[in-house]
Amino acid sequence: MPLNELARRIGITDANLSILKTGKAKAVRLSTLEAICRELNCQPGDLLEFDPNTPLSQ
Amino acid sequence: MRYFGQNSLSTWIHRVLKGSWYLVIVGYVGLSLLLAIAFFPNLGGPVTQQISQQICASGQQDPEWQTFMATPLVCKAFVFPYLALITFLLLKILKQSESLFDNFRRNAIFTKDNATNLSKLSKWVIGFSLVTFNFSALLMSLILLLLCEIFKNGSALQEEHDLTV
Repeated sequence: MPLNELARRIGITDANLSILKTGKAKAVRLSTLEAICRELNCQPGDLLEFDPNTPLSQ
Repeated sequence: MRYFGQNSLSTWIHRVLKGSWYLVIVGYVGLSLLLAIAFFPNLGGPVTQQISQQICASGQQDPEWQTFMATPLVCKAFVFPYLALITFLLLKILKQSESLFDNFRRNAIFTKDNATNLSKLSKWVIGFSLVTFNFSALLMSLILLLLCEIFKNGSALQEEHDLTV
């Protein structure tokens, strides 16, 4: 699925999807997470992971 | 009334500040010329002598002007660098304010750039108040420093909002 199609289905802009993809996002709304999981047919745990070695961006 | 964006109050303040910047330069050059003519009437021939006489005649009723003119020329000459310093500070304050309102008129309000602008502006105002012994300006600079902190927090919140997907 092309990225612009995914953005349209989730209901966010292409720019915001790019922010998510590049890891620049500071927070994700539960409604966005829900929409991504619905469209990709996955669970939030499939998208998020905790890495203790990655410092929290300030 | 709209405060930010195109054709808002910020647009008008930006234009006034831009005009004031040029006015200050014109005023500085004019005042320096008049003072130079008053102090050195023989520099430019009969025309400057006449202007110098007119300046001195208009200042005859003012005792402060008389006291000032009675001081030695070396002391009087300090007026020029002092005037240049005040003009420099005024121009810096105007330019910094202009930059701030330019951002406001482009709807960029809570940005790091504005927080930096306010911080610099308050420093220039502190300098201006110390040079001109104007302590009400010192109070204004403290308010500007407070505003700067508010803008720093505001820009952090704005960034978080913009990067929330």
